[in-house]
Amino acid sequence: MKKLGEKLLVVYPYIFAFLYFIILMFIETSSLYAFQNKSFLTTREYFSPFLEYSGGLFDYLGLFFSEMLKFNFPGALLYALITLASILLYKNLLIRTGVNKNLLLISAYPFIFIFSLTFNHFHPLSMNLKMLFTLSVLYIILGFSSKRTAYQILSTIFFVILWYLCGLEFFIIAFVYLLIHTTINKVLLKNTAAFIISAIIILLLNTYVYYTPLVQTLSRVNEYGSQLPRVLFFAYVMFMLVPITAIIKLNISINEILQILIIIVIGYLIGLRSFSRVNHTISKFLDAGNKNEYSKILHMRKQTEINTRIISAYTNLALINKRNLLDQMFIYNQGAGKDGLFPSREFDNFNAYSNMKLCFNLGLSNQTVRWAMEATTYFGFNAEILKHLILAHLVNDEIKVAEKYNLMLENTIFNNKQKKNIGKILADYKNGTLDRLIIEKKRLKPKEDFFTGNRNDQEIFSWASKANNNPKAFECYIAACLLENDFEDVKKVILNFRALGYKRLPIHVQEALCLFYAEGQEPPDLHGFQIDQNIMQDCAWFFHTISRYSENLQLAHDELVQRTGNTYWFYLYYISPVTRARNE
Amino acid sequence: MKNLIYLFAVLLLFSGCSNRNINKYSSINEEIEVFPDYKNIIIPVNIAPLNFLIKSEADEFMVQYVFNDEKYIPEIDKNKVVMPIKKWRKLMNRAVNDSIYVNIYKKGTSGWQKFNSFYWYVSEDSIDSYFSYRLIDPGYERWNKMGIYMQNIENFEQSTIFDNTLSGGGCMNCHEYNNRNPEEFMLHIRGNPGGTLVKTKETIKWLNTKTDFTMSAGVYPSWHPSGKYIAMSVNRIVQYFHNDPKMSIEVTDHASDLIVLDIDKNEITTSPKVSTKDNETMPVWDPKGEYIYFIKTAQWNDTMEITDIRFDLFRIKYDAESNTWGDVETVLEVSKIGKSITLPKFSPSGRYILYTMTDYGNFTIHHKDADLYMFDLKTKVYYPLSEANSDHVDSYHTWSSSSKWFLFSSKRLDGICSRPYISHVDENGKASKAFVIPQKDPEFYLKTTQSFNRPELMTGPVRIPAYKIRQLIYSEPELVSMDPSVELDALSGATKFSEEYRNKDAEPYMRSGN
Repeated sequence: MKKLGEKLLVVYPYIFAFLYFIILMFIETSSLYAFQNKSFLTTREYFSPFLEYSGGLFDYLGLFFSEMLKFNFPGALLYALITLASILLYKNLLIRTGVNKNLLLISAYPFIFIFSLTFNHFHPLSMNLKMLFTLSVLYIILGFSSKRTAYQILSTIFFVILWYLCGLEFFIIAFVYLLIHTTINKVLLKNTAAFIISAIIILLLNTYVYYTPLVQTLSRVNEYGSQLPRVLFFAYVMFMLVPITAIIKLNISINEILQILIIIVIGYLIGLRSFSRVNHTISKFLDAGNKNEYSKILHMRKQTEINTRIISAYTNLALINKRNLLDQMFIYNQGAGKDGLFPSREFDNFNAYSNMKLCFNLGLSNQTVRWAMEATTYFGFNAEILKHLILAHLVNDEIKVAEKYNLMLENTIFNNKQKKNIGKILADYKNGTLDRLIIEKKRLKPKEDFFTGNRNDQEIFSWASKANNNPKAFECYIAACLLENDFEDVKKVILNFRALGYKRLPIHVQEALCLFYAEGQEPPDLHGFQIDQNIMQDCAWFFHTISRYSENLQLAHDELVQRTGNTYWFYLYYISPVTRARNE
Repeated sequence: MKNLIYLFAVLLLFSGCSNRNINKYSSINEEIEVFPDYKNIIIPVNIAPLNFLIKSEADEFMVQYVFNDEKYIPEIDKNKVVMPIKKWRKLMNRAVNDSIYVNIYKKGTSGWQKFNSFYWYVSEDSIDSYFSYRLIDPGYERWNKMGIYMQNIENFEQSTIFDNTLSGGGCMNCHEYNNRNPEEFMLHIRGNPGGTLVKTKETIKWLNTKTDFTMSAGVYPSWHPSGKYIAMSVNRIVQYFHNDPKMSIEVTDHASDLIVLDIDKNEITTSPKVSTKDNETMPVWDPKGEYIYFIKTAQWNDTMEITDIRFDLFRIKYDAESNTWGDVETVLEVSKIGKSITLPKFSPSGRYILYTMTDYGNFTIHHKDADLYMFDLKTKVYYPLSEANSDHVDSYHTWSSSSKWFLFSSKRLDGICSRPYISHVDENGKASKAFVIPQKDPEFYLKTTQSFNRPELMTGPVRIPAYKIRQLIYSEPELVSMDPSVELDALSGATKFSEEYRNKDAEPYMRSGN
């Protein structure tokens, strides 16, 4: 049995590593050095694209773990539990086969190497850090393979605390820990020397291989999304075949296997809680936006206390689509100001996605392409982004580019409905028959050229102020004015409401216009519109209440929020970033 | 066994200079469309096989490359025509200074039918064997996934020079070679790490070319033929996004000046004559290294319309050894006819300046109207290269060592993605019909959504390993100093103007799309 174990431990991982490089690098030529997706959702919609390509399931699991392992106490706990599971496996393996610990360490090199390669997103430093970290963990596992259960538990707790405190830099602490540990437990001194030598060898090897022309060539364009988690988990599962094989050979009891499974399941459940709550919430909004579930977005917004500019942007997107923006926007916290309507550019965030959808809604095809491409840096070319790219290019009469993106969409296994719809729109376009959607977007598209800058999208809104064939854009413009405390501009364009066929002025517009009366300014020409008497009364009450508190806004807050918390006046005095900035 | 060997030998024989013939066919006097358009073109003798797609439908196609009485049969998979390199090389070598005719037949219900043939004239003038390019998605947005790559023009082989997964996702561009020599090149990398990598025959340096006296680090570069100096512009670049899809992105300078970097001394210099309030940019040395040619326009002010910015071509004598500047001379004024010059490039022979002309501005890769023009320094006549130009963007260009070819980026295939095109220049300076650099898979350009940005011809591959570049750029860049002999008053032009912008967060220029 010992001989079998040794053979398994040493030969198998090396053969695997060899096959790994041969198969993965020559068949999957874009296997390394891609960027990794950053969000993870537990929804079916999120999951299904991972079934679209070979190895996608590994990607999914890999994303889960890589997301989960990044931060937070629960993540650390999960890692510790997995470690504990590994310890149980290896302990059994070691005891029953009597395999030398150093041999086990040697057998782990291919895995460590592959692991570190797969985790290398940016540069070898990061790779080496992670590699050393992994090596440390494995070494600790070996240290943990003591038969003293109490010691194992204490070590695990210590491990968790260190992880929590130190994050990815933990390996340094782990190394110090190892030294202390080995000083106490002299049995492992020999292994510490082996550890240091191994680390140096692997560092050199790693660095050398990283720079070889083969690997460099692999850094060629990768259009098909991240391969990293897949590689990681492929490697991991293959490697785990060794102990699994040993389990089968050694007849490990069902009880033991169940224990391990339970630990992993509990870990998984705990891991779910370890995601960044904000990111997870944002992802839910994004997911609903993806499916155009705007009622759900508004419902979720009422349920959550989390308020970011992205969540604001999705809320406002939902209101725009429901044509309720100017009647209901201040029901929701607009603390992000204009950035909650059209988030300014920021890398590695979700805003590109919402901006893509907003621009498409408003008929801004160039801007749709721009934000869609921005969104790909985060999400890759997913079906929703491809759809927007195709449609926007068709609106621009760029059929050949649209066809390229359609080819990418066609190459996905799922998204059949999208494929069918888009395919029909493209076919119609080629036959000279424009789809209703394209006609509509072409109609909405501004006829005049105008510029927008990188960080300042004022131009979009000033264009929208004239957009009398585009009510959604016009409403966005008015909303932007209100969010910027610019109700003077609102006064100038009241006539446009008439041109757009409004029967009454939207509620928040009426609220803004009340301010002219409340502040004793010259009342605006309402062009036949009227301000609701209730709104007038509420406005008068709002300012009366403030004066009752001797203009002390802090004292007046609680009373005002009860009756007028959903009004423009309340936003103006208490929430607006412009006001806050001015007061500071 | 013997029989098998004979059979194999016979098969080999037939697979070479094939004599497969279609004895019975009818001519249909119809032009066949192929993708990419490789019909009736002049090609360099060392080009890789021109693999293409037949854009027609039939039960079966048959293609013959006919040179004199010899017929060469490429591999055909449905409508995909691919020629093995060895066979192609043999054909090329035999057909030098002669034409190869491409016969395409289709099989239908009425038997084999032959389309009108087209030809490839094989020029003995070979083109430099490599070209490098930046690969990035159209626009600027996916700049965090880009790299500088090179391709062997003779055999399709592509490899990475450097990509930004090795540099933390920063921008990179303006890879420039001295006289197409891959041993001497420079590359800007932006972000963190950021700087300018300068590789000479003897050294490799990592420089920070931004000084307290200049508005930015060096931008558009040009090597002095000696390899000791690089002329560069310093620019305050801004970009705007059009609503009009014909333009999409506008990149312009709010200020720009010229500088010259002395590579040995790590020192930059300038002159009041090229650091004026006007915008001087895109310098290029003449082949003898006596003059710096550059484009210039009036000073930017906020009341200007971008569409009113027009550049003319100027030159200034500069003796790099003695650091003495001559006077600025006008070379070509096109602003008076409502045009703008950009990207001037000297032919190695020194006779021609190839440049891009557009209605306004100098960053033409998003200008649909941008076309290539030639300025003949001998006759002082400039003219459009009508055969090479298209209805779409024809912009960044580079000469071959022989001055017989030029490579340029064009968006003619789809209007969005730039592709590398080659055109031949005859003894009268006339350009031939341009064709896209062939790829092994003829569908390549239909599938890839990325742009070939700033293509540069090279006499061979860049041999410096990416890891050395990476190691270098993660070290602290050497600071260049300003030539102490330059009086600060000399910097009273755009440089001083840049003070106003010093605290403004200008967009790094490399993010300005492709």
